[in-house]
Formats: sequence, structure tokens, C-alpha cells
Amino acid sequence: MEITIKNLQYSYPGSPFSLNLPEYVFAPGLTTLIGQNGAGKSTLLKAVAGLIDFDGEIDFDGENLQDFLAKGRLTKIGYTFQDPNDQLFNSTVYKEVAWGLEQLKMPEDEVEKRTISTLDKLGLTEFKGLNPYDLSLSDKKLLTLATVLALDPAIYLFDEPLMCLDYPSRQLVSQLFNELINEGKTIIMICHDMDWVAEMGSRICVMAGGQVAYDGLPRGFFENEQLLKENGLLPPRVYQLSKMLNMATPCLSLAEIQ
Amino acid sequence: MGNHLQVAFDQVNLNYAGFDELALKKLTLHSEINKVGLIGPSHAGKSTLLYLLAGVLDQVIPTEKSGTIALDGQDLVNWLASKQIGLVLQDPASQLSGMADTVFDEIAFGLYNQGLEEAEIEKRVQAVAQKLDLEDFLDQAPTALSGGQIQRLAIASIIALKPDLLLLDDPTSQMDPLGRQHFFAWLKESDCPVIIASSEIDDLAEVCDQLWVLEDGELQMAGKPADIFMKFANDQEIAKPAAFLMGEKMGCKFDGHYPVTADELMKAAAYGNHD
Amino acid sequence: MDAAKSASSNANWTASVDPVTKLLLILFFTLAAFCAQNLVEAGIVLVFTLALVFALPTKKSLWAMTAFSLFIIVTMVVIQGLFWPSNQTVAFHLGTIDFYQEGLKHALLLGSRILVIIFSTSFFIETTTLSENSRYLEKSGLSFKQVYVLMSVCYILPQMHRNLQKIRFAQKARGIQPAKSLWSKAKTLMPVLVPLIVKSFQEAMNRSISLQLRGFDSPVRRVPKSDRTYWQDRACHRLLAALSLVLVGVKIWEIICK
Repeated sequence: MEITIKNLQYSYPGSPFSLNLPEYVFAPGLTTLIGQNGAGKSTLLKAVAGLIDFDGEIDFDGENLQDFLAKGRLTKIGYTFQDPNDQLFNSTVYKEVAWGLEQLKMPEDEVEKRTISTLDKLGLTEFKGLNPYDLSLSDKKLLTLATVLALDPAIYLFDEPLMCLDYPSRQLVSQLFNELINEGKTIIMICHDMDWVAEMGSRICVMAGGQVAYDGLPRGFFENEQLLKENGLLPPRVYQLSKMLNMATPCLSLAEIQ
Repeated sequence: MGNHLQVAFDQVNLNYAGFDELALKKLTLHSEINKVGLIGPSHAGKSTLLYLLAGVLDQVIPTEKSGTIALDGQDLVNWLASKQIGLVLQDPASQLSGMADTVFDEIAFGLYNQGLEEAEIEKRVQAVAQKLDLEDFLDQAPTALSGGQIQRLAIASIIALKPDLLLLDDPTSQMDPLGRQHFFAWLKESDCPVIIASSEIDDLAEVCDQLWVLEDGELQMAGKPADIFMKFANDQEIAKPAAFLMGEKMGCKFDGHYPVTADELMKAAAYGNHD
Repeated sequence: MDAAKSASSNANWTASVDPVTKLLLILFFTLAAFCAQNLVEAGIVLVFTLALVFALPTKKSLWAMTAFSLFIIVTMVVIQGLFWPSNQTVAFHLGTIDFYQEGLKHALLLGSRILVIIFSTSFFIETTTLSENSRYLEKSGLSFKQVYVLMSVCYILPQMHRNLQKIRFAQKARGIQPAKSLWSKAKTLMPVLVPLIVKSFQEAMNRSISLQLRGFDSPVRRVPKSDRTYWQDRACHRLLAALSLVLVGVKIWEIICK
């Protein structure tokens, strides 16, 4: 699914900050929004999710946002927030994942099947009878991911999906993201982990002051010291180290090292 | 440089009341605390250990424990009674006093409690704000800060107290890369004994002289970063620093092990042993 | 508390009323509301507290609290109007259902008491600057612990309100529609209540730990200086305390005479 943005504008009430995107297209696959606090990343994500009222147009494969979401949000857009505590409210981990499926009035056995397989995918099966709030922060984050994965939407919007995850969970999530990309889903995420961004190698959109400062592949951004400095960001660790070693072409990630 | 603290855990078992599973199992470790990094997957017991050392675990949830913990030869409870402990929690916003109009007031809060004079308070707050890049925010309301800034504020409020032991539970999760870099640069130079639980493995490898690896409540290993990473080189559950992974891929070793810091990597590439 | 900051800088009369007087006003009006025997007397007390409310520079949190309490009051009116034990005289019909005068009057009396408490409390909250006024209370002789408990309304409520906004937003992203009718509002309350209560509880626990470690109840605490002056603070305290005692006396007399 292609998301086309035209003349998107949004101003925070009582703030000089405004989001201004004349034109942008999110293609199927992963696009990562990076930038400092207040650059407009969250705002853009919320606009695409239809959670705020903005000026301009956002189309989904040609269909206007309002019409797209009119038929129900659950199977269209999956959105997870930074703090998993804000999204969980059911009495057990199982019910948390099943909730969305039940809202869609799916047959019981289908709900059960999908819930169990999603929990399994995220390594949460052993917790299925527990109260979500009894889980560790990392597992809660995985749970919020599970609640959207179970619904299999066309579009995924993630606000800092790796934040709070422990190392094994990060590996798991990276793998899941690759699967979603292979399935042709459109994923937009906010991330401040440059190492991970470089590893994924997907398109990045650097935002500053409510506008797009860079749009393209990671290498073009990380090799531009001026741009990095202006946006208060650091290049990936591997890049820094390979530059220090005076490599002819500094590597962005481990995969690039001979 | 730095104050070193001797800690002795002996057969510490701990479980939360009402739960059968032990949160800490037979924890036994005698060590000197300078800069200790606490690593391991979630549910490993890292937060439990930090809360336990701070003496506040029972306030969070009633526990049943056995075994002993001693700091500098004194039982933990007695040591805590005469020392200032600093604990920075995972959720920064909830540790603010809620009573401060400005960032300055927030940092000063604990200093008033210590009975310091106004002039000394002013001096300390300025010094700490500078270390954590908060000088431009001193007049702002804590509620106006971003997540990463609030984390820095929470840390500032604790280090202003000049604690005898600083315990940090994932203190940089919401910070942007630059903020994190400054924080770890400060941590490296600070002269206070520190135990920091974090998943920023590269920064821990640069800053810490010791790593404790916890998994499922058990201490898997405690030792120098290089020894830890070599031991767990094939363990997919333990993250390794970029320098280590690069050294491994390029086949260069430093001092018999793959490099764990940028400096070691440079030396290893220049004149280390190549596999 | 930004509202409070603008209050003090605008030389609004509310800023020269000291915090103890404001707290005594809450006590006084609450007692007056409970002494009121009928709707006319309760109405008079309510009007006085409304006068306080109109002096407020911003009324944001007030509307939120009032709206919520109106929901409770309307529920009470309906239930008491239908089912109160002393119901005898029919007030009006709604189809085949009878609403009774006694129950309605009783509920309205209770409702006016709730509103009086809310209005007088929001007068305190909206015009109180945390730092400065906690200094006043400490100077007046209260221990910091007592000051903290008293002031807790000032930060707990705004924080809960902020959490509520965040959670509502996250829930909206999960397809929980903001409710229009009263009944659906009640139905959708659960998904918001659970994370709100859990979050507030966890935050309270974390705060308690943090404060303790920062020497919250330290015997050597030095009281911070305060430069503010208030209008006739001692006279106001004595007057309000005396009036409150009179009201307590009236109520006790009433109970004895019964």
C-alpha cells in the first residue's frame, strides 16, 4: 500500500512549531523517521494514523484518509506507542491480543488460532494467563506489538518500537520486521537507534523543524557530517569505528565488513 | 582515582511474596565496585538487585529473602543508615518530586533536605546542570521537558546529593544519541561507585571496568568486559559491542581477546594478533 | 501549574490570598454545604463557590472535573429519583417510569455538595504555585511531610489528567472510539480506567521511593526562603477557622436535637 502525502500542515496549538510536508510518498517496505525531539516525527505518524486533524491530504493507494479509515481502523492501521503501559487494558495477555480480533466479530476458533500463533511468534505464550501489568517492560512492549500483528493490517506505524526491549527481543523484532517487509507491508517507524537503522538498510526520512531534511538511504545521510551535526545525530557505531580505522569505504553495519 | 566500595553477596535468595519463583538465586559475589555494568535479558533480576541494594525493595513489593549482603564489611542495612544512596529508576517522570516549579527547584529539592546553605545549593545545582546539559533549562517547568531531558533531570537530582553509591536502572532509554554520549562521558569521569543496568553495550564496554551478567535471577558471570564477551561470544542472548564483533569478523585480537573498546580495536587492527 | 504562574504575574487578587486561607475556604464551604438543609441554602453556598471559580485565570482542569462529576450527579439523580426509600410524591413521569420529588431533592442536595467541594478545591489548585506555596506552608510551621500531603492534589490531579490524555490517545489508535452518548462513555471508561489506575499507582510508588532516598523526611531539612507577601493572612485564618467552628457547632446541635 502506498501512502501519499500532499501539502500536509499541522501547528501545535500555542506553539511556534508546525509540520510542513509539501509532498511525500511512503512506499511498501520500511521507512524510518529520525530526528531530534520536536522535529515532527510523532506528529507525522499521528497524522498518517488519522489521530489528529491536519490540513492537507493523505491518500492510501489513492483513497482519502477519512474514507480509508471509515470502514474501521483495526485491519487498516496498526499503531504502537512508546510507552506500552498506555495501550494495555485487558485482564490477561491472551485477552489483550484476542481483544482486537473479537472487535472484528471473528469466529471464536479463528480468534483462538490467530491469538495463539501471534503469542507464539513473539515468545509470549508462557505469559498468556498473566495480567499484562505483571510483565517486564520489554515483554509489555512485545505484547503491544502482538496486539497489532494479530490483526494483520496493511500499514504499521511504530513509535520507538525498540525502546525498552532487551537484546533477545530486539533480535526477534528485527526478524519480524523483515518478515513484514517481505510480505509487502508498509511500515513507518520512529527510531533513535542509528545502529539498527544502518543494519536494516531501509529508507530513512530525517526530520528537522517540521520538515524533511533528508530522504533516502542511510549511507547518504551518515556520510554527510554537516547534516549529521545540524540534526544533532551520531552515525552508527560500526561506521564510527571503521572511519577510525581509516577504511577506504567506512562500513555502516557489520554485514558490510569483509 | 575514585572511591572503591567492597560488596559481598553471600547465598542471597529472594522471592516476591506470593510467587514461588526466585527473583534472585543463590547470588554469591565478592567484588569491588568502581563502575559496574549490569547486563542480561529482561526478568533477569537486574532491577531487583538495584532496588535491593538501595534498601527499597520491600516498599515496592514484600519479599522473602535469605543470605547476607555487606558493603565495606558492614551489613547492608547498617551501611545504608549512614550513607547516601542514589537510585535512578527506569521511569524518569515518576521520580520527580512533583513539587518543583522549575528544573532548578527539582534538583535543589534533595539538597534542602540535606540542610545545605543557599549558596552551596546554588553552586551544586549549577555544576550538576552543566554536567548533564541542563543549564539552558533551569528556569523551565519539569513538565515541559522531553523524555530524554527528564531522564537527565532525574539523574541530576540524584547526583547533586553526592551519593556514596549510585545505582542506575536503564537511565538512557529515552535519550537521543548525543545525550547518551554526553551522559556516558560524564559517567566515565565521575568519581562515585556506580552500578548501571543498561542495554547500551557499547557504552558499558567503554565505561565499565566490570560487568555482571544476570539471567533468570542467577549470576552467570562477573568479570572484566573482555572476559565476559569472550566467554559469551557464541551466546545469542548476550549483546556484544560493535568493536568486539568487528574484531571477530576481521580476525584481530588485542591482548588475547577481541577488542571491546574503540581504542582496543584500533590497536588490534594496527598490531594485534590476527587469526 | 503554568496557569498558576500567569496568575501570580498578572497581579490577580487570587495570588495575594495565602494558601492556608484557600485551604480553610475549602473547609468552610464544605461545612456550609453540609449544613445546608434545603436546595435554597445549598444553592446560596454553591453561588459563592461559583464566584470563586469565575476569578480563575484558566479553568481547564475545572471543566474536566466538573464534567466528570456531572456524570456522577446525573446518575445519582436518576437512581435516587427512582429508588430512594423515602420516595412518596411523584415529580414527573417519563413514559411509564415515575420520578419522585424526595429522591430528586436528596440527590440534588448531594450533587450541590460535590460541586461545592470541586469548585473550592479547584480555586486552590488553579491559583497555587507549588514551590512558593509549599514554602509558605512550611514557614507556617507544618512539617514538609504534611505540606507534601496537602499539596499532593496539586500535582497528582494534573498528572493523572496528562496520563488520561495519553492513554485516551493510545486507545483511540487501537480503535476505541471516543464516546458520544453517556452510556457509551461509561462503557468505554473501563479501557481507560485500568491503565490509568495502574500507571498512577506505579508512579505513586516510584515517587515515594525516590522521595525517601532524597531525604524527604530528613530531620535536618532547611526550609527554603520565600519573598512573597499575602493580604491579611492571619486575620483570614482566624476568621475562617472561627466560622468553621460555628458551622461544626451548628451541625452538632442539629444532631443532638434530633
